[in-house]
Amino acid sequence: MSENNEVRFDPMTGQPVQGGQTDDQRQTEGQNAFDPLAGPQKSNKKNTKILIGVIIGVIAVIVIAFVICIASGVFLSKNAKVIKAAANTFEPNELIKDLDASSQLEGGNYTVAVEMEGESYGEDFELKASYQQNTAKKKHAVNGKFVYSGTSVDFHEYMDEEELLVSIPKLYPDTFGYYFNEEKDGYLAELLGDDFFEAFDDLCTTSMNDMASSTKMAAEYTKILKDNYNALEFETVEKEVFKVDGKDRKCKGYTTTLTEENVGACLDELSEVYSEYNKNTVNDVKTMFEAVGLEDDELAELDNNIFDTLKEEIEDMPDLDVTFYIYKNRLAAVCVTGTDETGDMKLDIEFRGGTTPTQNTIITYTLNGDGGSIKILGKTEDSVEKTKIVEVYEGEKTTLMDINYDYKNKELEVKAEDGGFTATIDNSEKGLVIDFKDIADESIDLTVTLKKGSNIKKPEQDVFNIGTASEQDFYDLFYDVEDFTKELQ
Amino acid sequence: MVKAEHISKKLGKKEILKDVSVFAAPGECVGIIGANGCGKSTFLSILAGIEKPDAGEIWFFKKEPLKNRRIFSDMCGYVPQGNPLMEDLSVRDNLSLWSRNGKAKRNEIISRFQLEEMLSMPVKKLSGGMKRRVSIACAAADDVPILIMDEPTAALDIFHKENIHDFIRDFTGRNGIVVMATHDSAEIEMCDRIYFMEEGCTEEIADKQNILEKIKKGRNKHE
Repeated sequence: MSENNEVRFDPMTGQPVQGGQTDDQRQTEGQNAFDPLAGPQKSNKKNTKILIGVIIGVIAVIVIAFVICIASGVFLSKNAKVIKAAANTFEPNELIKDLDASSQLEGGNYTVAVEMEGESYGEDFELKASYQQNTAKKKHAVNGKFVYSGTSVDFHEYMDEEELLVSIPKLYPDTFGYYFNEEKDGYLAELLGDDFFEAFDDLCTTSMNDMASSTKMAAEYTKILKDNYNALEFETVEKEVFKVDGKDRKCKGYTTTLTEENVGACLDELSEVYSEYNKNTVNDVKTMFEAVGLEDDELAELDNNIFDTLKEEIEDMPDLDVTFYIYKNRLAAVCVTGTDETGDMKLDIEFRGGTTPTQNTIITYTLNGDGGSIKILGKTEDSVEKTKIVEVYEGEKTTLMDINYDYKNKELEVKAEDGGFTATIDNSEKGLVIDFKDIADESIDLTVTLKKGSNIKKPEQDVFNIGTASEQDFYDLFYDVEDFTKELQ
Repeated sequence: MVKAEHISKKLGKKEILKDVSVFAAPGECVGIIGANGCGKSTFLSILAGIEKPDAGEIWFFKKEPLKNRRIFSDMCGYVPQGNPLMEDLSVRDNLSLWSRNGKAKRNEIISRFQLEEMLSMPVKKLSGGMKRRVSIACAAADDVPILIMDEPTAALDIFHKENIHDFIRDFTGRNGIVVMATHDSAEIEMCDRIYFMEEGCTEEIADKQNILEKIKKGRNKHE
């Protein structure tokens, strides 16, 4: 089972040390030599950190591009030239335009419905479910029906600022009710304590208010990204030739440096906003988990958010030079280079154009001399957008995915290594309807509908009040549910 | 290196581990032996970060995984006694699920463990030996320096046993560390260091010849 090019481990740290050489070769190759006394020479972890830094940098630029271009005005600075070019580059193709659901989601009053039919283990199944939200009225509902082998089960959930109602009539005829502003003096309060329920009530009411405040939080994120981007210093570099729309073009270059400090500072600010908007939720969750016996170190982990995790990931990241090459107000390429003690890395993203600037995009990467590329190759024939995604690694080409979209007939076909699907897309004033057929080559059909507006109704049955029910009520409930379950079988 | 000191663990009122200490240097294969039910599996699952000890300390090189549990997943792979694989998924999907590494690395693992011909098969259709090979491949897929194995070759035929023993020799030859529970005399022979576990405590055994006698005694006591 052994191979000569396998990873060895540094006996001082346990870190993997790459190498396809024999021990003798390693010992004679200076920097690449594996010397147990000298500690780690190369580290995959470091490479990961470089890549994460690169990805954060590139994503940040793309996000900022979309945001700032809207309020563009007059662009004068190098920063603004790059942003304007990026905004012009990420122009949606017909498929993305037809999948755009922003008009349906606008205002926070919408319905998402899913219908699925198919066969599993020789039995037919059917699932219908919908989620409705009305942000202004601070309420939402989930309704569904699942049918398997002739047995059908309905479920309903409703929540507003005052109550949470859940109903599964096949299991129990009453609706389970929980009232946030009501005193909890039943069996569960005895078991879990007042702190638990105070926190849970607060969490539920906060979550309804969060539906409205998430837009405000997104605006603060945008401002932070914009300010941090504007603080970057760009310099002009020599022109380089890149292929744009099939021709070699000399492109102007602007470069900036991403450092652990400037990326970290941005992540700190984002983390602060996240914590500010979510502090009540985090405190409530902590109180609830504390009540059920979670330990201090586990509770402390709840304070970490995605931005803190990202900051840990970029620790010791090397400085990354990011150069944007621009041709006629759009990006022709983004080139990222960095070096640390483990070696050099390089990432080039070339936007070679086509019907849209990104229709043909080539991503090439090298890490310590080892590398590969991902190619997005597209063309438009009549009304069909054809996209092929190909990975090239060690000279071997693998087609990861073929996507064909006929934008006149609204027909989508996706072929991937492990299966694929066909779908039709209907995006009109009534809503967005995506009809999938034969998912993953199985006989499973799925329809997803997203439409503006909602019709949220409360379950109307009698209520089993969870907050006030006594121990005996719960025993009765348990036996009743058991009886109903037997009937189901 | 791997160092566990004074590990204790109660399950309900029963004290499964009282004072367990184990050390393994880079490139070492360390065996933990003892009668069935003596706590070997509980200790290994603690060492792999699956369960928490009530007391004690663990070091992986200079890092303390009990203080930052991510170190467990970053540095160690675990092959439990039972089958950890998703039975309805294919071997390829299981490898993708358990490994954080990319396709190139997965291909290397596939070739190292000779899994090519079974890649598309659902795990449930594999024999016990094949499943064991896939479990170890999943545990090793992330290039972790420490492998913790609970009776890695139990119930395997001689061919598959040898296959896994080759892998262990190769892994420790690359400075990897293996800590395993075992009853197998060939595996005991492979070990650089052996600990005998009895009544929730460990004792390092210098003389391999005494081992079988120790096991016998332990078994009698248990009965």
